[in-house]
Amino acid sequence: MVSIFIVDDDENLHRVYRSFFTMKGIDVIASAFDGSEAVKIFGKLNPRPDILLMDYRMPIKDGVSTTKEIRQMDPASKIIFLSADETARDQALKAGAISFLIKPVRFAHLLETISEVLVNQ
Amino acid sequence: MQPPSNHSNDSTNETSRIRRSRFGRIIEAAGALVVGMNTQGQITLFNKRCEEVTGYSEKEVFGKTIFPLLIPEDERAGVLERFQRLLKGKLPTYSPQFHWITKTGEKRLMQWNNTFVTDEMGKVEEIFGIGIEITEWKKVQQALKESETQYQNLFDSVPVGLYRTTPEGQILEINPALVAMLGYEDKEELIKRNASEFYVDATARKRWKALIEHEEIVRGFEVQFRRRDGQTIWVELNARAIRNEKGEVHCYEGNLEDITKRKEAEIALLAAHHRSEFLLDLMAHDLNNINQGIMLALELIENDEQLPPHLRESVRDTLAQVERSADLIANVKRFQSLEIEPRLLGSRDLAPPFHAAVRAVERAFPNKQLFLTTNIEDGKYQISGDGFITELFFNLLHTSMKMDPNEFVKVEVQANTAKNGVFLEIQIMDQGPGVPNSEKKHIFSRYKENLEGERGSGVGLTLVQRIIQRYGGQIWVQDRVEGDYTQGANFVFLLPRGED
Repeated sequence: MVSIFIVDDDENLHRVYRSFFTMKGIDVIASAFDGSEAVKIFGKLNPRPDILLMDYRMPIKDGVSTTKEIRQMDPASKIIFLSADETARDQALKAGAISFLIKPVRFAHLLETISEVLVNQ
Repeated sequence: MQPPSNHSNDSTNETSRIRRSRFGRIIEAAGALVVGMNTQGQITLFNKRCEEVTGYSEKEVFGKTIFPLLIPEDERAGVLERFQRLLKGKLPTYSPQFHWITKTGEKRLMQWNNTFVTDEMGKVEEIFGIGIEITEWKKVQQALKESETQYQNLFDSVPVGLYRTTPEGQILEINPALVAMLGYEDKEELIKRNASEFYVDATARKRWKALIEHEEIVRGFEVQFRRRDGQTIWVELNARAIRNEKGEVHCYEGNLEDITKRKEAEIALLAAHHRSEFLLDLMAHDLNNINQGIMLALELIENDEQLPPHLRESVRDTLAQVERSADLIANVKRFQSLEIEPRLLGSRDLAPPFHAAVRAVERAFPNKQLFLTTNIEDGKYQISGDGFITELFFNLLHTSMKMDPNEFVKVEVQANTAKNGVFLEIQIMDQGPGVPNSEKKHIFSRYKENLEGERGSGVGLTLVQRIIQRYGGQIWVQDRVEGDYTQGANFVFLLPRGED
């Protein structure tokens, strides 16, 4: 079963992501609402998630800094950036994100991207 | 020398003798007028220059009294009075100026120096006048004076500040407008100051000096000045360096304009721009986050197998509306980028951005299928453009997909080199409802589009036009089948070709 870690400051989004992933047989193994919390939780996760879904604008620590730290902790981590801010694309990819999607994104497209990332690993 | 009683052969011979003499040759060679008179004012000598200026020959004037012949009536008394003084052996300490009248009646202004010849007893026998014609010189001098007066009047009345300063900052000249601009009582008070004292930032004058000494002319140098009352103002300096014969800077001269109001408006505008940018950014970000939640929630509902078909249709319609809102936000952001991002065009392959746009459009319409035929292939067409090419194709294809009510949307995209070879002509032909003639002119107008609420996602086609204008191209819409707009639209646009 594919495992996923959702990092986003929007509680509502967490709920719909979880419903969808559960419906599609994807296991949401962790959730964080800011970058700092995400780094802490990621450090404790064993096994690591197959995919991290990362928002950009979050309180305390943004998605770019969080991506850098998580990639340092685990260079094999697969982070899909998901942001409403298109200007963050370059920074996110430079920080180590494997893919960048613009919100709003259709769930089908999100699943397609997850599959591509997993197939390519 | 005896005064001639009349015009006789003897006197003519005397003149010829003088002309042949050494003294005479000097008189003739001189560019000056030389006229000799006896004590009665009768002409005894009239050199060649006198003949040239007056039009009279020496023969014509010899023995005639000079005053009624050559001196204008209104000046005659004064000239006679001076003549009388000369007869008494008193040489004037100045060079008098008066007119002569030529044979044709024209007045010519002369400046004279006089001398006289005396007998053994010291009595004046003959008077000589040596003159130069100054009519033209006087005219030039008058014109110069008028020009100087005009310049001074202009200098004093022009509403911008004018100045001349030395490289060390000594003020050489300054006009009343600048005196008032800097808040001083008068020119004298201001001229005692050093130009460097007015700069709020002392290094600004050093920068300005370095610039002007290197470039010779500096235009539009904006800097803050401090007025006499301590208040700061923004000024624009335009100046040039004036160099001496050695090539050293003698002074700077230029003008200075108070741009405080403009500058304040610019600063306010910039702040407003940053604020609007911030708000737009915030709005775009938050709205798209909200859209993401709504979109996923609607997709969840749509995926529910027990959902009645009529509700499924409503959910799909609502999803399309959410996407429309997201597109609108994205396009507004792109408009912002178009205005902010510098125009750095380069030669690039048309195929990658085109195919990226096709993929993005396909993703945007999950319930529709795009049947695309095109001759655009990797490496086949090069255009001069930048990162907005994908946006350009995306918006045009998006319009075709959106307007066509069918699930299967046929679009043909053809690229060909335009006749002049400078542009690439691209046609996007769809089979949607087409564009009526009355709409063709206005379809790229944002306001019209909004009013009609027809093609595009609010500003999509306006964005397309802006991008094409950015590249120096052109776009128009025509019928896919000429004369029948209901057969679909053909968007034709020209993009400058890149290097092959």
